Amino acid sequence: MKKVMIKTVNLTKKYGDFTAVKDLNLEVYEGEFFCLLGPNGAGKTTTFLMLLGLTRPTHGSAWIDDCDVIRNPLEARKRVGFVPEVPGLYDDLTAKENLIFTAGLNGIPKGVREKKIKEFLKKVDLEEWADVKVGKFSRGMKQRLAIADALIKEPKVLILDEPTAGIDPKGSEEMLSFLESLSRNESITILMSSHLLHHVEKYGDRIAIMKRGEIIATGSLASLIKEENVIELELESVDEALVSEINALADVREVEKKGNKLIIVAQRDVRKEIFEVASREGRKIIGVRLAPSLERIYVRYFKEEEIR
Amino acid sequence: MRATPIARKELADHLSSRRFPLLVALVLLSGLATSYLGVQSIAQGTIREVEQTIAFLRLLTGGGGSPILSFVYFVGLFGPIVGVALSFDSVNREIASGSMLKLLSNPIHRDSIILGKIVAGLLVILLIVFSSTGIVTGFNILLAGFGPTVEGAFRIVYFAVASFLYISLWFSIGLLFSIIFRRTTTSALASIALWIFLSIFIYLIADVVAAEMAALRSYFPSVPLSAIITYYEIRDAISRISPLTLYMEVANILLNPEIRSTGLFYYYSEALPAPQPLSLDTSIALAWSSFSALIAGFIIILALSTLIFLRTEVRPYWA
Repeated sequence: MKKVMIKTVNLTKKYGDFTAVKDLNLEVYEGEFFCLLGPNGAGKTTTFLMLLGLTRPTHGSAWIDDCDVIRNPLEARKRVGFVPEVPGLYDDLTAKENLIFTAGLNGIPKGVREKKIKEFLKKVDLEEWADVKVGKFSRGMKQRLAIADALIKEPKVLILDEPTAGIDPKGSEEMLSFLESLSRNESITILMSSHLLHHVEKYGDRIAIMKRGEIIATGSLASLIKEENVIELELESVDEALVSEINALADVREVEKKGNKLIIVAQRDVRKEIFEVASREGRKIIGVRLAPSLERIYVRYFKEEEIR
Repeated sequence: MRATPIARKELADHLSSRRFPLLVALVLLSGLATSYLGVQSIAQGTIREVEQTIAFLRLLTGGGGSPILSFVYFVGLFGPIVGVALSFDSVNREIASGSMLKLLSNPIHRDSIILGKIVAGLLVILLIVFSSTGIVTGFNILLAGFGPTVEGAFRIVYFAVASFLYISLWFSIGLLFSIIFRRTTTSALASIALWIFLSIFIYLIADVVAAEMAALRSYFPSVPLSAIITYYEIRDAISRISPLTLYMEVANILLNPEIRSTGLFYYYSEALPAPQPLSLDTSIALAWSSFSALIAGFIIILALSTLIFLRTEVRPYWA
């Protein structure tokens, strides 16, 4: 059984009457790539700040690698690297100088500093930029350097707050692939927040969806998909009568018409009933597939919450 | 405590910034200009024939020339700019740029961050004050053709310490504002506003309040002595809220051994017949109340800044 690297129990943060995070219970395992999804104000950053010991929870507990974050934040921060949305590097320093500064803050001995800095700059593909001032870097390069900066203390956990914000798609893919390699090859636990669902879908081992400070769904993409049956049906021709008839089937929640295609969202697999309706109506089926997406799951959770 | 890397970085930032040469130039040019004026006063015989110690020190205080055109007065006036310029954006700029959040995510105590910033700022002030005072003193020796006595040299060193403390007090005010206000422009404006208030308006307020409280009416043909004394006491007490008043008192007492009072007779003590100038120890004892007030103000504001910083929640973009 894999070791729990991040654990929260009823973690709550209130600002006056406003509850930023409410009874958060989370377990993230060693080497796992865990993604936190949610709109602005969902409580993702506050959760990260509590995990870093930078804001005191109103109540609840949190541990990083068995270290109590509330009682011993300094020790916890030795084990966790943080990459904020804004890299927070010093523009007037070179890449190397930025890393030397962070190495100094982490008490890394001078003897091993140089070697480590070289190693991490190489890892993030910035070796040739070591002596260039960070002010001249692109957003993507800064973010890569911020990851190297967080890794210099060799943390067991890496927390990233919207790391791909403002980076071009190619740069984002490269960064996420690198993070994935850290979790797969070096067993570094990754906890990342993102707005970009396709990134989460592609790289996240497990996902938690946050809304108004609460986790409203959590699990692997596969387990979340099980709860959602999205059937993509392609027919020779589609009319409103057919849409109405499928919509009337039990457990069908939504039918969307896209040309000759129907996207059917149901609470269970209703493919058999759909075939029956199509044959009764004399419609020729060209293709059918189960096509759930994280985006649909995400939207569904938010709709359900709004209905509640 | 891992304040050393922070102090080292802050020091490098200060010394390599565009502000630093400007601040040094401001202090130095005002010092050199007043030296020249002071020496001219000696040449024209406006400085009284006194012993060499006093004559040399008068080059710093303005002596027989206008006290407004003295090195002491310029340090009193521009010292706050030096102090505030080194600190008004030291915390809020880092929070706005996101570097503070990154800094805090490392295993360091918050007080190490503030301590690093304070140490670096104070070292820069120390450098500016002592190098400027040294250069101005050297320039005075060159122009006047004579130097201070040993006691005079000590008086100049103590004056430099007082100047350092005075500028440091303003540094701590700038630091406090950089923690309280989220925007650097707001903290800069607040610091300037306080500087103007404590350098100009406080005296007008002190005058009005003292006159009202002492029931002093200038149009009265004869004013009772008790009212005049009360007026001066209240006015001085209110004026001493201003670090400028405290600094000018300390600086003038240290650099002018003929001054024998900080109270009501401060203004006249220089003109009183002096059988002998005060010794350095006596001058220090005389200046001590104002000096200790500067120290207290400096420590209180630094402690307040640290306390507020420790309790400030740092979020990305101040979200």
